[in-house]
Amino acid sequence: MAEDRYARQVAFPPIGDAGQERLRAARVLVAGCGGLGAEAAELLARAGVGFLRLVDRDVVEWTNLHRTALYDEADARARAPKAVAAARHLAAIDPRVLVEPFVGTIGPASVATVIAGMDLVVDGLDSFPNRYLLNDACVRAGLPWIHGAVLGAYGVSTTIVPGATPCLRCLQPELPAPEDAPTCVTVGVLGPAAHLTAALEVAQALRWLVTREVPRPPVMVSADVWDLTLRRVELPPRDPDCPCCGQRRFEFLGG
Amino acid sequence: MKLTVNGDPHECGEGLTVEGLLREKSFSFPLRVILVNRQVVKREQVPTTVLRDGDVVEVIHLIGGG
Repeated sequence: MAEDRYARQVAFPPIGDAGQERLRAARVLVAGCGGLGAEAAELLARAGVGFLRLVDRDVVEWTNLHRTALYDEADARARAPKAVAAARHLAAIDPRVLVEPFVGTIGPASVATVIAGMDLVVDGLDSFPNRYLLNDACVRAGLPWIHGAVLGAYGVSTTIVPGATPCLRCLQPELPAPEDAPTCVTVGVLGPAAHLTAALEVAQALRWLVTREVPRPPVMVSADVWDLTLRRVELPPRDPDCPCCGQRRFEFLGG
Repeated sequence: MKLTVNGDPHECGEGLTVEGLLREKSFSFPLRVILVNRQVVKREQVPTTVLRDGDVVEVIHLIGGG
């Protein structure tokens, strides 16, 4: 029965009926709909998050299918925009979840509009420049976001609550140079690493949406699915000199 | 002296810097967040930060894929 859909999740005491209602009322942006974002979007939709905005500028390609459970060959053949294909598949999973696809780029001009009205952002981006832009925009707006990234067999994730936890630039103040930033194209990426990282992101997202508890101490989790290592690393407090959340210089927003 | 690096014991000589430790251990990717006793070691401090017996070091890769 459709009404039993969330029974096993509601039975989990930290969620319960009240938590499920909070998820139904929540509005979440999934920024990027590749290996991380598509999986995160599916888990959020299945969990009953009421509204999802999906943003991606790319189309589904054959090189995506090894790590994206949400897309299929028909999407790749049609070169369907990822955000549109994801919205269509999510509608088949649960039509009661409102999904708003946006095919386009998250840039300095558009990011404020893209994050407007959201309770949380889940990171499915695929580059440092985009993440530094999102970090600036979320810190400026006071909007929590779940950072996640994946490469090879390795993934990391942390919950960033502006003003309460370190932001991305507290940990790495300067935008990494392109030569220091291998990509999924140059060194590859494994489906299990993407799915595990997306699952870690969504677990943190659900916890935030249900409890609004700031992780204390802030924690970054890292996983290597080849070595089978999973690390929970306690982070320092915010850096008061951080150019972004300390000095509030939002360089990546273009001024 | 004895360090803990990503949860595992690591024996090394006195006077080892963070940069020296990174050379001893081989890490997959070039960019890392390095924490010594839960404090971030900034990039410019990596060559000069000397580790002490009992230090707890965490090395997290900073990665950009998605």
